Amino acid sequence: MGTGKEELAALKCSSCGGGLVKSSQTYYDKEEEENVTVPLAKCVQCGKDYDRQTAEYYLVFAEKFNFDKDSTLFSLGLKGTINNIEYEIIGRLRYQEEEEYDKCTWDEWVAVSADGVFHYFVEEDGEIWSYDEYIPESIDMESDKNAILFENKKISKSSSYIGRIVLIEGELPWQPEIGEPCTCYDFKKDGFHYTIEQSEDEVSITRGEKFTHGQLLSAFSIDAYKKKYENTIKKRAVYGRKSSIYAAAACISIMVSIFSCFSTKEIKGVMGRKQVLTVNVPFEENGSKAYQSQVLWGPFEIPEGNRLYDVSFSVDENIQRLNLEWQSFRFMLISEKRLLDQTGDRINDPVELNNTFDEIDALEEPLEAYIITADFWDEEGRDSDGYWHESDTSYSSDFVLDEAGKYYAYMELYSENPRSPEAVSIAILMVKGYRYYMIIFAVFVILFLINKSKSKSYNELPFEMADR
Amino acid sequence: MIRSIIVAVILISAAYLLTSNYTGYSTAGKEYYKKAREERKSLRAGSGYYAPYMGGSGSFRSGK
Repeated sequence: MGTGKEELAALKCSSCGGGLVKSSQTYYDKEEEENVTVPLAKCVQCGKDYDRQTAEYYLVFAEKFNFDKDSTLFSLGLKGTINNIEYEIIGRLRYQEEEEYDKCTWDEWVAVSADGVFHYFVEEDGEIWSYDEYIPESIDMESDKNAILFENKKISKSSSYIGRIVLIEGELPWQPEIGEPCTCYDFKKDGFHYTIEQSEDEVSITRGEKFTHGQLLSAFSIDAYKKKYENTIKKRAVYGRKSSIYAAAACISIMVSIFSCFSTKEIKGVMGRKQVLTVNVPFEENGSKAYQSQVLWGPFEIPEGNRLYDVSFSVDENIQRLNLEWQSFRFMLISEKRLLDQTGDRINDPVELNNTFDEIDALEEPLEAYIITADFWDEEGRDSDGYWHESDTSYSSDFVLDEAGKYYAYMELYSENPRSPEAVSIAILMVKGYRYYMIIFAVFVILFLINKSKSKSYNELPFEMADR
Repeated sequence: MIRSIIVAVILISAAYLLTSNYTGYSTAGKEYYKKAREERKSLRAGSGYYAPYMGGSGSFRSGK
């Protein structure tokens, strides 16, 4: 537990009459699993603590809950007419929710009509509710331990919350005190909003409806805010329309992306004809033994030039599983014309092909139109989380091929164990690009969220306002 | 509001142009030949041979 004297307040301890100061208490919160420091009022003389369940706490911390007390639509003495009834604001109470340490307040403005009937306007979270006293046909506060029976409707007592008075202004029909608690139940019945307020010796019931700030600015002729209110509503509408445009653009982008993603066309016959040039030829490099195989697939027809193609490789586990080992490969796409130029009429001669591919990296004029290198692996091990087993047995890459025509797929396969060259499969697809549509989709979503937020939060008024 | 329509149209058009021109994608064919030819020219004789790719990249857990 830690305490800190922050500020002396001219308030007295109810036990010893000593002065009260702002203090704090640190405790371990099991739910949060960390130390939490909460504010407290403390007597400097006897050391007694006053928490948020005491009136003294609210006296000491009143300033914390009232710093924005003038940022309200209503003010004392304001006169207006609603539904042909004239009202005058005569008093105000500000409540703080007891459950919260941070500021969580609402204002209850007490108005009186020309014929002496009290009326209440509640300003909370940018909304304004207008309440009248209501006498229910029946109410039983204690019939059930867990519920209140209100005109045959059960109101759960667990829905209650406690408000503590932190500000009193004007002339009120009763004598409230700072810190005084009031248990409240808010509920809806038959389209009306009701509030039951239960204090130590009284239960009051009010029935209300929501009003917009615009309605009340007109009703109470509050001209000072009218222009700002109109501007705020106008701007919020503009932001709302902007957010709709960006939402539509985001939908278009994602739809084009999805369409492009599924608009693929497989190149037929890639693995139709195969020449295995070498199989599991052992070699040693840097002290490690490995095996090399060479395979040539094709020719196959690539029908369109200047198009995007995706080539994918995978281990065919039905032929041979990759089991705690690696296999790397080098893939080359070779045009038939270039291979013919290189081998002459001996394109089907394995010896000639072997010689050509042995020297392929040394040829001055590149034989391959594109090259891809990657690997597959399967591994296991142990770490702090225990046993793990992971593998990567597929790979894909895309490229733009400028010329249509007949092509060969040449692959060099390297593995730490002898492996069947048949166990690697290749597929080539003609695809549509969609990466830029995904990027602008993300941009549109961000713009949508910014504008949506502004359509709710833009405000030129000095108080919160939820109207749209 | 018109500005947001313009922004949306510009971004969608830009995405369409970049996609249809295959901007940012690797190219196979003439451009690859040119690049590979230049690379081979810059290498000394005998030094440009491919070293077999081996060992596997593996899982990040294995620390490879």
